Amino acid sequence: MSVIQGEKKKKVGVLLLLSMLGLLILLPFAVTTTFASGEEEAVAEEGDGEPKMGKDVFYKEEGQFGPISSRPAPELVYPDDYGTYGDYQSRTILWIANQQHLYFGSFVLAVPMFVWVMELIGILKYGKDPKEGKKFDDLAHEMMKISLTAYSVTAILGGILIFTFLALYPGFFGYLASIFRPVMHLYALLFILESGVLYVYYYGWDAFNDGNGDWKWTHLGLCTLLNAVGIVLMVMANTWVSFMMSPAGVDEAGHFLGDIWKVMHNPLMVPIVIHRILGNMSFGGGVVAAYAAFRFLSATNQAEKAHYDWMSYIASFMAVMFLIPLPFAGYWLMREIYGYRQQMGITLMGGLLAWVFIMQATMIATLFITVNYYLMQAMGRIPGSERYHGAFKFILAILVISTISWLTPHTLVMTPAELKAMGGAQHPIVGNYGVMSAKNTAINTMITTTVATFLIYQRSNFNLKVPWAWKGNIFLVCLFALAELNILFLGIYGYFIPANVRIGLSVPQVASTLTCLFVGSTINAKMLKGAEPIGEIRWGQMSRRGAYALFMLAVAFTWTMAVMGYLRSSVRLHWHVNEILRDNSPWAFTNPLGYAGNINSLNVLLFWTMLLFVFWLASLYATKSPLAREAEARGEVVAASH
Amino acid sequence: MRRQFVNGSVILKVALWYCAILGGFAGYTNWLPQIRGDAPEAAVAVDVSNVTPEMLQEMGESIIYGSHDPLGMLQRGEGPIGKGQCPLCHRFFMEQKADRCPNLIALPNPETGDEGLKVTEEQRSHDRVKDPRYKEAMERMADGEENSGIVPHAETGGQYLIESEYCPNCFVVMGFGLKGTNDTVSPMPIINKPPIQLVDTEIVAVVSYLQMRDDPGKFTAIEDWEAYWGKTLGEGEEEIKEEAPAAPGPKVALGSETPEEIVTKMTCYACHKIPGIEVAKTGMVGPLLIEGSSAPHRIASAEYKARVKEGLASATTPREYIIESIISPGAFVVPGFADDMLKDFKHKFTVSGLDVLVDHLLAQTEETAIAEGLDRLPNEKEGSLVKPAEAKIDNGEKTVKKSIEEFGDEQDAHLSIAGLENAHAKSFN
Repeated sequence: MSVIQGEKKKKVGVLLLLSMLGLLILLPFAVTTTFASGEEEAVAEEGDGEPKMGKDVFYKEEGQFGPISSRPAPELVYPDDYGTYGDYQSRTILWIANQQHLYFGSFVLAVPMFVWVMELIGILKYGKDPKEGKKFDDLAHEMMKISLTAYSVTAILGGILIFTFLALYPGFFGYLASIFRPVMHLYALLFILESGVLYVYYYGWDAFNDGNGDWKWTHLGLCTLLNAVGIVLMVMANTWVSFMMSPAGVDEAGHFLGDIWKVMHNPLMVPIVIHRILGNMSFGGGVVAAYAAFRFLSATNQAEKAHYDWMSYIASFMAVMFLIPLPFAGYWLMREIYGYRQQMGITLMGGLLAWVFIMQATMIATLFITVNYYLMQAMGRIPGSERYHGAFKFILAILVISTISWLTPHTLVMTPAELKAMGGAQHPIVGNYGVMSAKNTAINTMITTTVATFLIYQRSNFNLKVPWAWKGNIFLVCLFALAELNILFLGIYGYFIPANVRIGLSVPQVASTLTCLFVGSTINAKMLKGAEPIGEIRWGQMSRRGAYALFMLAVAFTWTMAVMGYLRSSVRLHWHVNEILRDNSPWAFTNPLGYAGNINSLNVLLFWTMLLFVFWLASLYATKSPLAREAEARGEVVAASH
Repeated sequence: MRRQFVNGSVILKVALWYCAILGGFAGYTNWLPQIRGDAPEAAVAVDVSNVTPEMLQEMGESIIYGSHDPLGMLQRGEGPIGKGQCPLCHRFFMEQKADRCPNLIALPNPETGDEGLKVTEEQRSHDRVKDPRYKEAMERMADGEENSGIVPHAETGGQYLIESEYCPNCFVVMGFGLKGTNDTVSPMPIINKPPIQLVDTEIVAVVSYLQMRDDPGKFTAIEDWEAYWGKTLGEGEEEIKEEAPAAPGPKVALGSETPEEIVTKMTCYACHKIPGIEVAKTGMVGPLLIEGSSAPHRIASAEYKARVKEGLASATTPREYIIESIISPGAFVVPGFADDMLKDFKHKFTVSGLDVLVDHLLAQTEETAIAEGLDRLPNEKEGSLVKPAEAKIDNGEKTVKKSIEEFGDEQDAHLSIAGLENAHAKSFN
């Protein structure tokens, strides 16, 4: 016993050591930024040789002044400071180059996080059930294989993006480079480190694989290092984006004031980074689920089908798990935006860009309906789920009614004749669903319903054995019923109170939803302890519609990223760098939503076409999954528990 | 070996599936309301010691039209209106419809009628200062023009153009003054004050454009400005710029904005007076907007009913009438006015933005206008808001003084002079 404990401690020690190594990567980053702050030469001097000081546009009180250490932001002139390719909008070309790089970048940074979890589960399960542990390990390995091909594509797209900046926006790029000069090479050097670790991690998979021994833990440590470097890279790239939205560390004229950390640690940097990490994880899960769905559809034997069916479930579970906190991160980001510039917040939520949120609502409704649909299809392969099939139509009805209510706009744009026919811009009956009371009720109902579906999915294969099962069931039914009643009541009550009071009602509504999520999941998990499976899950027998639903989910994720990216970028209006560097190109206007929708669809089309190529390449590389090979050799169908 | 390749039909089906999804999403975004947010005009910072006449001319063009292709915009049916907003009233192209203020295009010489020897605005400006009426204005305003405080003292054509921007009342071209003022009061706002508020270099740029547009060699704007003001151009520019408000954002009226912001953004004040809107006290081109009182009468009028019969107008309530007037200004033109309101407002309002403005206009009545000292224009057949008994004063000067006492605001009282004189005239007819 003590020997086992000692081994465990040793393994944990190795993991901790390597994890620390991973975190140490942050040290040179911090050191460089600190040195950079002192190294920058002051370019402007007062008469007595003292550097001329500039006043920071964001930092106040102590540290608000810094030595002017660069030239001011240039007054860009069209066409001198802008390039063109024929009559095409340079901005749209850059938009596409940027979006493609971002998609692949997000994917290759998200997959190692996903793989880290899978590998860890594999190691932990290996001790009890080596076959099960290996299954997760193979899943992680397979994902890295996809990521490796995508990594090359990311690098190529990064090169294209730089060339596009230099060719089409040399003035803007020159200014940004002059500000971020102290850390630009660090960024490039980190890429070399990322590549090195990635190759050792991937190609050393089999060499390091001793089940759950020290070498395997060391391998997991490499993954930690890989993720640490990846996160630092992402943070650095995000500082440029957030600097463009909310500059700091520069004065009104755009002079760099010598402290690169202030530039990077601008007001919106942290919420954007958090939002993007969660978004990346969710997106990564969605793409992996789509890959698994693709392989499921193209599988030629039952074992392969079973493997990819299982893989798609795991990946979609990860995607949804990170999707749930995303709205809260978004709320925090929006609050910080309002804190930084109220006008920016109003432009987003109640002004020029408000209609984009209707599109966002559409996308989120699509995601929730698709997740529910997928779970319903997936239950088709679970013995015992028949007990719940009757509820599906009601669940779908609730979701569709909520979606329609959520998407109903408050007012409509219409011709004078239509306006007259309807008696105003707001429909006398339907228009009532366009207010926030109805919308909050709708989205909370959708999330609560999705949680209920998931709990049904979890228990559909089991006969409960805990003695308090009937009490638990009553509790769960009451929990969901009361939560929904509370959501509905507050929604209706909102119509009878002033708007400023009504805003406060969203808090108890969200509280009801979160209670269902956390309390419901916990009680459900406890009720499943020692539960008896009704039959073996028929992995591989999910309907093809379920696989296509996963594609829908992944494409909707990708499209949501595109539309929210358009929103975030558009809120700068006619500024390259908000209030510092003005966009003086002919494309300084904010595109209408329809144009953005067309470009978003084009971007998503390009991304998924390239990704399909990557999937195809992966299928060339390994014709059969390791599990399929084993199963084929034994002549049996693989079955597993979830 | 064959089974190493994924079945092509799966790739095709998957590709078709996501193409259909993407088509659906794109289609939906195109179905939603389309609002384009145009960038506001840039604040101009010019180092006048290094600026060339051509640069100033180009800058002036941008300030006037908001574009370097105004003719192209006109031909596309768009309104080339820059931050200076000059084309709202002045005519710069034959294709343009604007006759509230003097033409600024080169016209055939009225004396010779020779098409080849057109008189340019630059040439016309020299004649203005030689006009006997200009000398009379100098004497009349020897203590300074009421609103700007400027004493007319232009000596050259260029100086006259400069002066016109800072003091439109210093000389009013015959036939272009407010009705009833004997061409002594101009409908033009003071350009270096809110809401247009151009800075000195921008005004010089506008004058440079006017001078060089038809005659590239005639650039004297900087020299004229410095001679007129007796100081170097650029002095104190920074302070002026600091005071200038930031451009209020893209030119789309939004529901989150106040009526004041919408009126400013849409430049309604250039033509209309609107109670409750600080910037809209001077418009002399369109009717006074007191729709709580006017709209019901207009709908009930014979002229409006005729338009309804023709199928051109369709409002039955005041709210519908106001919306129709903004979205489709040609549906009905108030008798006494020309159909020269801009026709592109339907692209510049969100529905909620339109609601905000309509609500404000509906709340304005004769009483709110009187409370602010605003009055109808003489063109409006409903007549002055000031009762004849109140307006029946000995002469124009006393009328103004009385209205100052009544309204307690000198500027507003001055601005209502046209209405008062109209009432005054009526009382004797």
